[in-house]
Amino acid sequence: MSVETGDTVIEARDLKTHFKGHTGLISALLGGESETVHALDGVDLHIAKKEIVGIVGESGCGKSTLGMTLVRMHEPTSGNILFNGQDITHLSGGKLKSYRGAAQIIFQDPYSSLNPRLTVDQIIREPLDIHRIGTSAEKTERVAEVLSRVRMPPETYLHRYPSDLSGGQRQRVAIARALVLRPKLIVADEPVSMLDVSIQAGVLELLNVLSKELDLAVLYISHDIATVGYICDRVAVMYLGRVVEEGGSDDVMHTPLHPYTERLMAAVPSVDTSVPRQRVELQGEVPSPTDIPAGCRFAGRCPLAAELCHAVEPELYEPLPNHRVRCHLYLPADNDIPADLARPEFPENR
Amino acid sequence: MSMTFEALCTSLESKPPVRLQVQDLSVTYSTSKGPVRAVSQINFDVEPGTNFGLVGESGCGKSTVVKSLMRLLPDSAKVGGKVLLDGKDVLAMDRKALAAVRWTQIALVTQSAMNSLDPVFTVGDQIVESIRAHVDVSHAVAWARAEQMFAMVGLPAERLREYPHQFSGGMRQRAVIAMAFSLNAGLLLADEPTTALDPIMQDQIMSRIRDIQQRLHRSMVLVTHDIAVVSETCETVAIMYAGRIVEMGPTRDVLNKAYHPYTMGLQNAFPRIRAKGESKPPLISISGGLPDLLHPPKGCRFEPRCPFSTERCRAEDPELRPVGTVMAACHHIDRAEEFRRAALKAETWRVEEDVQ
Amino acid sequence: MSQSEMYRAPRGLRFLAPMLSTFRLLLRDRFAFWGLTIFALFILVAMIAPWIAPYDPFAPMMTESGRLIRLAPPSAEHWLGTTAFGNDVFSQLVMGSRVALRVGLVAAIAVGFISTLVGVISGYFGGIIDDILMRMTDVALSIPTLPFAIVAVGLLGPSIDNIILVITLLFWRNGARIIRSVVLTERERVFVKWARAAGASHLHIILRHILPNILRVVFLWVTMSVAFAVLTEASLSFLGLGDPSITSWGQMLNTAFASGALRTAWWWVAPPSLMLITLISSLYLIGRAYEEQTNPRLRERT
Repeated sequence: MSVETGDTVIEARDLKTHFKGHTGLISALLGGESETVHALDGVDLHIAKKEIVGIVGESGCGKSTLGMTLVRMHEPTSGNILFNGQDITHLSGGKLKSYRGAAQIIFQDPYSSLNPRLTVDQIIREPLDIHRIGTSAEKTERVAEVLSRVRMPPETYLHRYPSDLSGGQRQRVAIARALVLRPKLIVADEPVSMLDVSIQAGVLELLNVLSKELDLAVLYISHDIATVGYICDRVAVMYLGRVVEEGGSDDVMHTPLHPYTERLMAAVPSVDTSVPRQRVELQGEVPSPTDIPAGCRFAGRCPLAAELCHAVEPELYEPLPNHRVRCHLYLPADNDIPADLARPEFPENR
Repeated sequence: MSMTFEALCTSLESKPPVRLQVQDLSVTYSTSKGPVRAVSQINFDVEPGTNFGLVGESGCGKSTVVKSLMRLLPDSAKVGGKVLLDGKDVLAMDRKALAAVRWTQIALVTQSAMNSLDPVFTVGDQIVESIRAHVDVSHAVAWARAEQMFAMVGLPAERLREYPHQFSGGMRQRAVIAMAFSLNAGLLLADEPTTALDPIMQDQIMSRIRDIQQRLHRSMVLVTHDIAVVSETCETVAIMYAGRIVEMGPTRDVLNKAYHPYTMGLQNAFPRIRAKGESKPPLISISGGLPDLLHPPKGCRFEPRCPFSTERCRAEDPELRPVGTVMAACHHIDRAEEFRRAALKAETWRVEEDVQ
Repeated sequence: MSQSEMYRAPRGLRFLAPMLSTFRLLLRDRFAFWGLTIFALFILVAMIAPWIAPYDPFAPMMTESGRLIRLAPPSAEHWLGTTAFGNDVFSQLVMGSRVALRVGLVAAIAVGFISTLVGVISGYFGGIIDDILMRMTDVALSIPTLPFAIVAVGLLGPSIDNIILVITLLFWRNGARIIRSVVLTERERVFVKWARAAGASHLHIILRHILPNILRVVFLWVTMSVAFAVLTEASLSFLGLGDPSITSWGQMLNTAFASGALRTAWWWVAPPSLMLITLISSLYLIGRAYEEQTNPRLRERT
């Protein structure tokens, strides 16, 4: 299920965000060397109106950095971010502020994302105060409207404090706060991973409905692959700062192309034990993002890796329509890679 | 005279698995607002060499159960009932007897591995320390055992000389598991051992735990909110809600043919990877929240959230009673078939007011 | 008590809510309540001192026959006796409370203001600003307290304003460090991160999200500063560096010491000492309650 890309809201082009190791005044004076963390290292991605794109991967793969970079909380080192076709990579001042109104973020922890000293009303009103939108009466109206949108009756909840709310209700308030400025893009960074299973569903469903009703582009970041399958139209799998596979969520989850995605999907436990799950043990640890290996980033742990994989980093190939993968297994026939490097081959039993 | 490494391994491996019987376990916390009954009258048995899953959401009392099994609750908690380890009541033990049981008979792995390791000692020294506190062996023998444990959880032996902060989250969790297994305790209490971890790491650790349990024939109580992990790991499962067990039985039966509406709701809400081509079923949440345990409802504790509740449910608290191969605490066990069908529909669970 | 009860304040006065809740917390704590009561009594006495004091504190007391009443023990006319110079001790004591509280409160407010300013700017902005401010604080911290105070007052001249200035210069440094450390914690809160992502200005974030959440620590530090300031003023006056035109408790002790009556005239020595001890204790009782609230480890123990 792929949505037409004509309505692209946000697009990342070869986006890189590198962090310098922290240096203090003293170590700077002493000339200490700092390492560079390649948290985000060349990501291409686009999200259309009404579309929810999921980002999955292990912790440290750069998925949260991607979210933070898209909402301009981290400065990109290179590459571009296009919002409604306009380059917003280096906006500053008033223009950046108005972009911040259009691109909102929802964080993982519902317990610390709301200031405990403010009421629900004050919390949701705050973005309107920051952007000086509307009169007091209009603000009141908009706060009530978004609260009803997240299915919390305003009369009951307006004057409550976060400590009076459950985790799910807090996360709904956080969503309402994100919606009150009528944004075009919402980055949801693990929005349900700290909630109980029985209430996760409600929050996910809400995100899904809101995206369709309000024409929102949503970036859903999660390490819980199962939830991604429920609400995402497309999924991108990240490994060590890059997207290694991207496509329709059903395609990626059921016919993963990349050896890494295959292992990631195989690691998800299943309730139905009538068919024993094929576990595949993944060797080794993720390489350090301060010291990116040459060639394919997964080659060190990949059972199929060949000489080529250790030498040249693969491009995003598109072996199937709308399903891209960064793996030399899918190297197209017309390539300009030296033929003397041994290519990886599919295992026998495929 | 201290033991050789071989003697240590033989003596540890010949340890029998533990039978755990929990009888009428109740835990009451006294708070400034009055007593809160976090766990009320729980009964379950863990057969030697089996895995028992305790499933529930935050606040259901599952962690309190685990803490009371290890006697780790604060003094403000009143614990009633019996916790029998091979017939001996843990709750009645004096400090000396308790110290002898902890780690040698029951070992605990919690969610926050960070807190289980001391930052100022190397991981190896901490494992050695915990071994030598309980068996009379030389440092070298204990170190060899630690190396063996590290190999078992898939960590290189040289890492033993490192400090906890040099480990990643997943490695730390594996180190804690190695420590828990080092004395080959007959019963492992695993409280959300993999919840904070990535799927790949979670899978690796759970499969290691399963292997060891099986190979060495150990017993385990696995506490989690993840019914998929339980379904892959445990022979028996108990579903807890608001301090009670509401359904218990062989995992396969409980998950395939639930009798309690809460179990049905939990399954609906649990996201799973669909088979290819399968239509997207809606994720259904259970509206409402946990009852206030300061003033628990008179009848069934799930009644306020239950779509099938009746007058009787409001008035009378259901007992856990056997039905087929399982036990369920619901007044309407006989209508389970009908409930199961209705529970699959989203409308059944939809309540407009008061979302959680 | 749930939060909604704690912070309920009239609409227009919402910004006062955190202060109100801080105050209520003091009333709930038994020790803090007594501390607060004693402190309030001191303030009351200081305010109405001229009306309570039966005599001018510097006026020499004469008998009807025109003789100076030197070192008289307590009597009906002179409740706490007289000094070696024939002054009424009770009048000096009462008037001395004015000096103690003036120094204490003015210096503490100045200290609180500077520490909060430095702590918040340093902790919130971090980076090079933090580095510069904290190195300044380090330098300030390396100055020994009493020698600096003695030299500074000696150079500037022994007036009450100079004493306040010196105390302020001495005590902002510890406060800045403490407040910076709590700001560092608050700055990492998700709602602060969110506010930045929503386009809020730094001033907005500081006023709305940082300050209300560190107010307790600021109050704790201000309370403690009152105590430090009172003690420092007493020490300086005792060493003879007090303002000679007014009577303070430290100065009373100084004159008692200088005139050699320290061992004999207990009515001259004991009252100012007791006043100092009571005032400082009341402040520590109040501070303790704040500390308990800000330090969860202490809260659990009770």
